[in-house]
Amino acid sequence: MSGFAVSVRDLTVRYGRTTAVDNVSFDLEPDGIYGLLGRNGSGKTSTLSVLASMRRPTAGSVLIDGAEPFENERVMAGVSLIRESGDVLANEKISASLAYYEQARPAWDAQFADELVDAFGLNRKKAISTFSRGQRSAFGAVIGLACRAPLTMFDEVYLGMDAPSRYRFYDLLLADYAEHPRTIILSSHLISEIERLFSGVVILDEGRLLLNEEVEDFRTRGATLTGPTAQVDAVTAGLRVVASRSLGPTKEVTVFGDLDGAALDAARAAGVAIGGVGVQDLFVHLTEKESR
Amino acid sequence: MTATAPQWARAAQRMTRASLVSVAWFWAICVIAAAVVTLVLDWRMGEPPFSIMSTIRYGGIWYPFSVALIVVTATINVHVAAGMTRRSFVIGALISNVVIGVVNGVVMTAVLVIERGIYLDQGWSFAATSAAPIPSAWGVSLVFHCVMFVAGGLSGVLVGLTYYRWGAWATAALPLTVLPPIIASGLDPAALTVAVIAATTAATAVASYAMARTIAIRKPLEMS
Repeated sequence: MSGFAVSVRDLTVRYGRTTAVDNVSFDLEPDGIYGLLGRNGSGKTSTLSVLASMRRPTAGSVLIDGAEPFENERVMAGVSLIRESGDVLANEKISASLAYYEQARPAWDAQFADELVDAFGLNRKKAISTFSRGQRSAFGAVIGLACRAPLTMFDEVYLGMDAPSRYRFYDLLLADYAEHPRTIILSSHLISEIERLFSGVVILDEGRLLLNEEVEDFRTRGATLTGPTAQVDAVTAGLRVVASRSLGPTKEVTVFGDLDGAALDAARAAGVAIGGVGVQDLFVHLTEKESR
Repeated sequence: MTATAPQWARAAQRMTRASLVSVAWFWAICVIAAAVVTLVLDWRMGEPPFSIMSTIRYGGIWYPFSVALIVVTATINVHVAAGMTRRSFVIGALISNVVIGVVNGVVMTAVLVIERGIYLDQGWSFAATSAAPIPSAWGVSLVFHCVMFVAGGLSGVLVGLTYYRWGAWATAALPLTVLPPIIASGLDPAALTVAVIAATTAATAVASYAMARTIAIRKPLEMS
């Protein structure tokens, strides 16, 4: 089974007078791992909720695998959203929730689910409500991975996990994705940890789309220039500066945009050092109020 | 059922199975309690003044009501999160509560038949309480109790959905949403009563279906 494509057009989600998602449009090709990034309150969860048919959009349209997902049995059966704290039978043992999802998800792998429960060291004899936050997060990850939905989304589900568990999850995700390609969306604040997983990024800022790009294209559009202040200012004139800091006669500037190769060569010739920028740093800089 | 069966069928089977466990406990407790009361009344008064089992009727209405309300509010999140539609959830809930209502109606009628046999054997008069009249014909009693108990369960589904959707504001709708079991609790078992209960119950089912189709699924509650 391959992944679902996602097409979002003019999506708006309002809660009363609050606009959580404002006229957002983007497309995701099937069988990729995408990062959905944004600051708190940027509209990530609302967007994922619409994709998962947890709510209808206030305006706009969403197509998943070419069809509107809301109350569409075929599409909904192939879309999985794992939310923080999870949607499980909290007062029951793990086995009850696993059985529930097994009869619900067409592609459910029961053996893989059992292996994941053991991999995360979850207690099968206790009710889920007695689990720690990290254990509940881990169980959410188990469900998300084992259901093998053609569109699988994780909304901050790994926030509660300790670092070893998070890295275990990332490795398990990649390994299973390699064997069973599907469309995966990861929403997280731990961008530096998960950016290596992404093939594309979607960044939301205050409910609006900031960008939707392949991750490599995104990275190459950012650069840090470090050198004498005068040379750095001269080289970066006309470029979009998203961050800047000075230390004595030296200045470090982060720029974002379609960078001219010839301009960069000239900068190097002028004694300005040019370095790359990680996805997290670019995200932080692009969503700073001063850079908008 | 496997994941290839219709979603509404899986939902109905799952909810019915879970409810049957609580139904079994309900009847076990009620029958044992009624038997103890009967024995005490026999000891203290010489004979029970009326059918003790008939008083279970009100529990048969309101206990499934409560169970349905809890099941709806507690499981709609998991159902939709597991990739199933709201339509299948509400159809499953309605079917499950009809089945449970009929089961309760059959059991209620059966215990009344058994109780009557015991009363006649003991030479006691078999009469219902003034607040819980029993139809003289057992077929009529069966229909009457099934309709009453289905009314309780379906009303619980609607009340659960309204509270899930509107929170505390759903209280304003209670006079309407609990109308079927209130009617069932208060009137004599005449044909008109059954028709009124059935009609209001059918309206409850329609309202539940309409209510559920567009419900926004809440965030899971944070556990402490």
